[in-house]
Amino acid sequence: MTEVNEAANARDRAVPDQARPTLRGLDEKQALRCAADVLDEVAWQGAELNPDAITAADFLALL
Amino acid sequence: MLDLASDGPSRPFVSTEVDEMSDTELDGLAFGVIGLDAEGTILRYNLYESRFARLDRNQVLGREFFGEVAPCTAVESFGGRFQRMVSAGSDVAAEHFDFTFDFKFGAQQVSVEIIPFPAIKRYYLLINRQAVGKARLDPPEGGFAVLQSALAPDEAAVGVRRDTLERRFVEVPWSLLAALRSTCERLAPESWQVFCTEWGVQWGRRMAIDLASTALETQNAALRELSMRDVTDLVAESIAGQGWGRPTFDFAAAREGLLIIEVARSVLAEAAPGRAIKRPSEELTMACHLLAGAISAVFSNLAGRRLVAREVACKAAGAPTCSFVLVAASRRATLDEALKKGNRGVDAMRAALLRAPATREDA
Repeated sequence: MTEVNEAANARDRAVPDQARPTLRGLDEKQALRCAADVLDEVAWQGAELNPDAITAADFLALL
Repeated sequence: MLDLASDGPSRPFVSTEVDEMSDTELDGLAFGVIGLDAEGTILRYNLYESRFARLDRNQVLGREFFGEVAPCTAVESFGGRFQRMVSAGSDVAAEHFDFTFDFKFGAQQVSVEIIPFPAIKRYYLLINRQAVGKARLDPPEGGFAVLQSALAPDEAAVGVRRDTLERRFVEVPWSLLAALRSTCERLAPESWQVFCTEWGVQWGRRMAIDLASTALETQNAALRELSMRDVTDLVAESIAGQGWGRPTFDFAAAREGLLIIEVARSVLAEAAPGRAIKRPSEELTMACHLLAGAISAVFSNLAGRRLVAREVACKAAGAPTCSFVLVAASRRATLDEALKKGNRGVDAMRAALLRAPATREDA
């Protein structure tokens, strides 16, 4: 191993896990919410639209 | 299938051209239109106005608007303004003002525009509903607007039936639809589907006006501003309530640019010739073009641009239920081509449409 590589590895070890987001993007307020609520919300942001949460005009603009 | 120039929204409205519009065009407008002569006699009366005033057009034509049909308008701020406009002769401009119509079944806040055509002595009232509310307890100056039952009493005795909104209706037996289908096939074997789709489009435009009225009356909101769920519930209730079968809406493919609709127990499919024994050369045809046309027109009206619905599987042709897809007009050719090639069912149509992604411009 070269000196340069060793120095780089040492830097990586020194920059630690605290830079990694702990809750995968969710803030604490969100983390405290009922898991089912969050999952429900996330599910609707996927392939399917929530017809209760979108106006007819906005929905039909997708067609 | 032939292209139908009329399956989108009507042409843009220009108030100075209202006198040139046909009755069918006036019926496609989402506001009331009343055409008067210089004496205030009603010459024209569109569907929207008829729906909100709960008056049958056939009963109001030829009657005097301010005194006989809408006495609540025989006041300075409305009738007086009209009189001054008529007296002014040719040197007169359109006028715009707010007003409250007082019906016994409720008050309606409206904005009114009077468009004068003094050279031909015609005056058009354009009436835009803003909000609806409860009826006044005390009669307004001039009195409440007339009720349908007062204009034409004892109609039941002469074979006229009306629903709760005073719309005349006919009870159509299933056998009439079966007879219509067999007549269509006999007289127009190549084109009856086009005829029925166009009929459905015309019906759907009127249904859209009706749904918009219901949205304003029940939720004080424009139909297109309601949630997609509320709108599809209203459409389903309207179609199922009349006995055509029950539509259900599947939103799962919206991001692919299509809305999937299934209609359970379609009366059109069940009125089609029953063929328990299929002859070898015989192709069972789909039957619900009327519903496809109506769905096209209702959602085109809501979207403000052309959308096209096609039946892609039909109980009359052996499918377990009737299915439709609704897409932008720019994808109509892809859909029709897939159907022409014999593709049937929602999955086959989704696959065909995915292979030919939409352009954003309408055809």
